[in-house]
Amino acid sequence: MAPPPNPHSAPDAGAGVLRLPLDAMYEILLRLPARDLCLFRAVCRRWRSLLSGPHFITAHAARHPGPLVVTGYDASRYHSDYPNRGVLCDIMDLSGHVLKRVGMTQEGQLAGEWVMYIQLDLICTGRGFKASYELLNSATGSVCALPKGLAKEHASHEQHYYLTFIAFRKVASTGEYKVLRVLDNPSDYAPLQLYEVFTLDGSSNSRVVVGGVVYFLSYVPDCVTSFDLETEDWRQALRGPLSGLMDNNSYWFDLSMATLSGCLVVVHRKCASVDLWFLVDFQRGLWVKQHSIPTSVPRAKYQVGPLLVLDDGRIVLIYLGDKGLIRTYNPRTNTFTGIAEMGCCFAVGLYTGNLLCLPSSASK
Amino acid sequence: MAAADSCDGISTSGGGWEKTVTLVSSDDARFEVREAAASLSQTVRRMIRAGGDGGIPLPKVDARTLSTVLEYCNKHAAVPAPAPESSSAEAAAVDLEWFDKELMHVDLATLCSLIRAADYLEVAGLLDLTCKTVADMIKSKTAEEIRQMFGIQNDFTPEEEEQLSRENAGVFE
Repeated sequence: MAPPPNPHSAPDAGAGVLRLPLDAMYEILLRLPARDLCLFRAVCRRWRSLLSGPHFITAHAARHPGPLVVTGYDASRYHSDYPNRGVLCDIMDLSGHVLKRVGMTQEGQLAGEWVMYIQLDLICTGRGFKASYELLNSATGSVCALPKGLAKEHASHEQHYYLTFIAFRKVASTGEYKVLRVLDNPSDYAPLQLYEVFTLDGSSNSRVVVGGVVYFLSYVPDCVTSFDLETEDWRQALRGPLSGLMDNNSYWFDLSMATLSGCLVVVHRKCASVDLWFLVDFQRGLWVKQHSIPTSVPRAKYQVGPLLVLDDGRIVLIYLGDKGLIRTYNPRTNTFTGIAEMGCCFAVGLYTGNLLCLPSSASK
Repeated sequence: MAAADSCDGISTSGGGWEKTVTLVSSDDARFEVREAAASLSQTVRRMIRAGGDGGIPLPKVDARTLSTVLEYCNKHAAVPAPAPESSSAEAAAVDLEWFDKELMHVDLATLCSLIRAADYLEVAGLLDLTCKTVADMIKSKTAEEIRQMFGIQNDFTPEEEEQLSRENAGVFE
């Protein structure tokens, strides 16, 4: 009978046991995807401190620079279209591999929680029946609540307005986040928007924010409204390409905005295509239709928009709806390639944070 | 010229005259190598510059490992740099890829020796190749499988383990 294994035997005695100094191990671990590394923190204390250290995290990020996408769900729904109950966000690479999942917060588990908007690493979630809104910084896991209810001046309008979007910008001098909250009253007769600006000392970003200025489509005809979060001033509205686009078959909600390659873009959803109008000359307000992407998915079922332009010119498109999709479109060959099918998806954004810093569920 | 001291000889290769250097392994085996190939190691390159006679001592690398490292260096240094996108460039790249793949058909212990040697000798290409090979082997393994593979003791308390598994609850398996 073989003797019991001796734990004090020579290090190389174990069959198939690899002996490597930690710096060689460091080199190997750098070449692994973040999702493996998160699990490998449980190997031993030395590995945990190596894999959690800022030096390793920075080196890993430099080696894995590919764009990452955040997809946001309604974590409380249970339905075949919501395959991942309890999951608030997935972070995936452009081959559709989910690298990290973010689950509901404890409060969210009681009240229900869904993702409203995502911009960069900042995720705006709604909670509960009476919808309180929170900002989750997916890079740090910090959460802060948006003020409930409207500002004092707007209190009388409470019943008629609903939150349309919020935009965020970090104030460089203080590290605080400045928030523009836009509320809609989509009345047929007199559609109106209310605007509120406030400051948060926590985290967050939504809608199109370029250099501290929020650009969005309001009910003012044919213009892109812009607001400077830094100075808290309205800027001169940009003349949009909008009036020329609208015809009898168009609806206001067929227009949306994006930023692509540093350009402001108006996205026009039509019956059989999605047109991308780039603001190529800011001073002269010159909009050019650079792409007309064919689409056959029903307009009522999917909201289609561009997320980013890759180095090789392909455009990453997101389809929000009951069966969310991410696809790339190659304008040169006029072909599509599927990246991911997410089930019912509420929001998609780019993730710029570091996966190794990301907790798997948010904490206060 | 300082470099001349460590150049033991001159040999012909591919029709031209090439400088060679002698490398000495930890177990005193001597390897005569073309300088171009040996210079893929930044460590050796610095030692060639520093000069010295009787060959370059490499006390951290044994003969068996060094011969594999030099096999890699000889192959990679031999590749000329033709115009990119040309068909011969593509063929050379494919050939090199096959060569690398073949070279990595070794057991884990050898692979580890190669990583240590590539790290010490600073052969960036070989370090990348060997680390990638091991990374592919440990990808998608569990923490326990990793401990077994590398002979690591689990030094977490049960409470810490519970905390870690909570942290990892959201990670997609």
